[in-house]
Amino acid sequence: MSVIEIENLTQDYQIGFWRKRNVRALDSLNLRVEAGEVFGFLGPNGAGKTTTFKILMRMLRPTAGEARILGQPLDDLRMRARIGYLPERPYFYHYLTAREFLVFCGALCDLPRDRAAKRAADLLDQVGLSDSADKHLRKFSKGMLQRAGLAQALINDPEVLFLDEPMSGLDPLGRREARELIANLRARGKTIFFSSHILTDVEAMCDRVAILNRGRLVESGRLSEILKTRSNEIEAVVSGVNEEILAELREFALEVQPTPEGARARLESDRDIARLLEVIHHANGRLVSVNPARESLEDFFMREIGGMK
Amino acid sequence: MKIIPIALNTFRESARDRALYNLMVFVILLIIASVVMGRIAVGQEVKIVIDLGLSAMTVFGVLMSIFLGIGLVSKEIENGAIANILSKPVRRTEFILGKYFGLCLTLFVSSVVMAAAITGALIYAQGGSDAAQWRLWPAAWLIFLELTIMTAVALLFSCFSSPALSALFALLIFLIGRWSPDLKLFAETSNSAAVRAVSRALYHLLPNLANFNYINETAHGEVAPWRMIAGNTVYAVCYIAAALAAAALIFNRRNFK
Amino acid sequence: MKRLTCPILLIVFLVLSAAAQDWMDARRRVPLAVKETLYVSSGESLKRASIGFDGLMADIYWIRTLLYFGEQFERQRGVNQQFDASQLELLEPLLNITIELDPRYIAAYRFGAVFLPEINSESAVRFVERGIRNNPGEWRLYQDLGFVQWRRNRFREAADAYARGSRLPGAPAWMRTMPALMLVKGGDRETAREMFLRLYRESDDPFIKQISEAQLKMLDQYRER
Repeated sequence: MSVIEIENLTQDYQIGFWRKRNVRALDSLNLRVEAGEVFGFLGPNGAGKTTTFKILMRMLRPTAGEARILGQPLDDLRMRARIGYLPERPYFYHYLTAREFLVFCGALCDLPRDRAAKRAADLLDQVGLSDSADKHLRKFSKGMLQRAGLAQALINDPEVLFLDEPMSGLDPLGRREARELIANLRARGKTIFFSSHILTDVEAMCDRVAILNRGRLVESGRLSEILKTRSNEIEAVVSGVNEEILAELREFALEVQPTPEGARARLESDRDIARLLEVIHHANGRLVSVNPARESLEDFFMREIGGMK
Repeated sequence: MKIIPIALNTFRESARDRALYNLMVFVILLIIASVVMGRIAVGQEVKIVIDLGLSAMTVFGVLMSIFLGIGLVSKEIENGAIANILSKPVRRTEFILGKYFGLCLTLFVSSVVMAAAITGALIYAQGGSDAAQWRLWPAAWLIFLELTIMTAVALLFSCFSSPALSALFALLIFLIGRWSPDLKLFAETSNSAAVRAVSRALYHLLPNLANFNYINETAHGEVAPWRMIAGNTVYAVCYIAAALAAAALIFNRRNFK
Repeated sequence: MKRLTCPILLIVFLVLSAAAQDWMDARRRVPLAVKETLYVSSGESLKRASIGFDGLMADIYWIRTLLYFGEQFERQRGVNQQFDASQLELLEPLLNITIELDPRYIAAYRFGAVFLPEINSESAVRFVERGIRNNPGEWRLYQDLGFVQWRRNRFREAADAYARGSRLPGAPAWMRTMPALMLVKGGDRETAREMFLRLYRESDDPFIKQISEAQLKMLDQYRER
């Protein structure tokens, strides 16, 4: 059984006051997320990611299609007690302290008061807010709110987590911590469905991804399947080279790009590595790295979505 | 039932709202001023303190219930807090009811504070305890009922219209509700059967707020009879239940973009 | 079933609230509107309270006056089968509030001129005279004042009122015959005869000539007797 099943989900908005017209925000989306997966939901702004979350979180009633979480319809309250959600734009009651807020969220999830209080303290520690636990949320920075949001999504120890742009608003340190938290949750067998437009985060964490553009599913599957490996091509990074050497490299490499430290060269196959080494040793240069060339998500975006425009 | 945590949280919100305290301070100052005015109008002190005190309580209470009542739901939608609530195992109806009862609790506490302030002003003006100080409490209860009705009306409007329009509608309903006896007279004396039917329907559809106004009688030394108090309480409970059912009906179908 | 819960609750409670309302209405003796009117007895203070909407407020009080009148009318007919305007104790205060809110409310003065004399003819005169003071150019109010004075048999005052009104622009021709007519009723036949004679000679209006002629003939018959 899939943990999240989305079938033909379609959402139309009506815009305009006098002459109403329909805008399709989501067009027949089909998705399945399996238990224990970290599933990335990607797409540029306005692709329909947040709309999908809003349908899953009962904010919107879909125009057509349906979705189930843990095998239950979206309105099932027992299912709701087993999931957690971090909204895209986390606003929480600013008159509450972080601790009060978490206890309140615990009460909404039927947690007894003492257990909610205990859980709140643990979570505040986990997301690095224990020092600000009794500060009012109005005094929180965007990053701190994001952390508080993550903590409230976890208050009921959910089996499935829905995170809408969990990394936005976090500084690099906070991002690394959030990544670690997600890895940790995955290790404990949680299913995580999260959206992002920050591709490096997705590449580092996801088992599978779905890519959405203008309300339509463009591609879904394992990252390694989606991103083309370019046959046997090799990418080598070298340093301490001069113009003369670059010219020599250009004789056999497919592409040579100068970098501040040296250059990046794309080779046709690993057979050319020996020749490359010979050339740079001659000039007292250094080989920094050699990797099979793989398309990055950025490249994919540029190719697939850029081409659609 | 998630109504209780939501209600308590709503109460906590208003308890931490500084604007509310300023309002209360203003009303209490007004009540104190009524003692001074009472001094000027020799022999009319009790009447003036009760008149002014209970009237101020009504006006500020109604403003509070309309504006806070509209904010209950529309503010949560606007700032996105609703997303967090709906993702949790909470029914939309529970959310509406929790918000409503939370504000009623706030109104109850502030009504008690204001009525206590009037009582205090009377004790000072009369130089000791007197029956008049107890007479005003039944009238204050009626005012509280009126406030809970207005809150339900404001909440209902805010479920389908913008905050500004809701405030306008709610104020209109308040004015018409206060003129309900005229509506009834109109229903009884019009020559046209259609006009009679329409005004009779309106009379029953709009809240009959004139029922809850016992200020003048109280100021003239009458005590609201218990039958009237009971009748009005039953009426208020039924009317509020109907308004909340309508609010839930609309809110359950609503989409939040 | 679940989808019907809210609509059903809505209807049930609305019906219950209406029932509670009717139960309370049945127990109340004095209509609320009347009580409330007594509370506000000065149009001046109401004018201040109406923050500039005094015209609208006057309209509201005018409608209330009519509603009160209509309600009393229905009630009295139900009890005595006949209408006695002298029992309308709130009519005068209601009318006073209306004209204090809007001193140019001609309809209110005219209504008062018809019904107030049955309650107190002195205050009816004062009421209409107040209307004339506030609206000196309105000939209808002179006509009403003349009528009020006529009903209390003050023919000289009535003649005076009609005479003043007939000189105003817009006053119909027959107003000019009224002073003389009043004097006839009051028994001052000589002055009346003179007035009719002057009217007969000076007027171009055939209607007035006709009336004056008829009246002169009648007065002549009296004389000969």
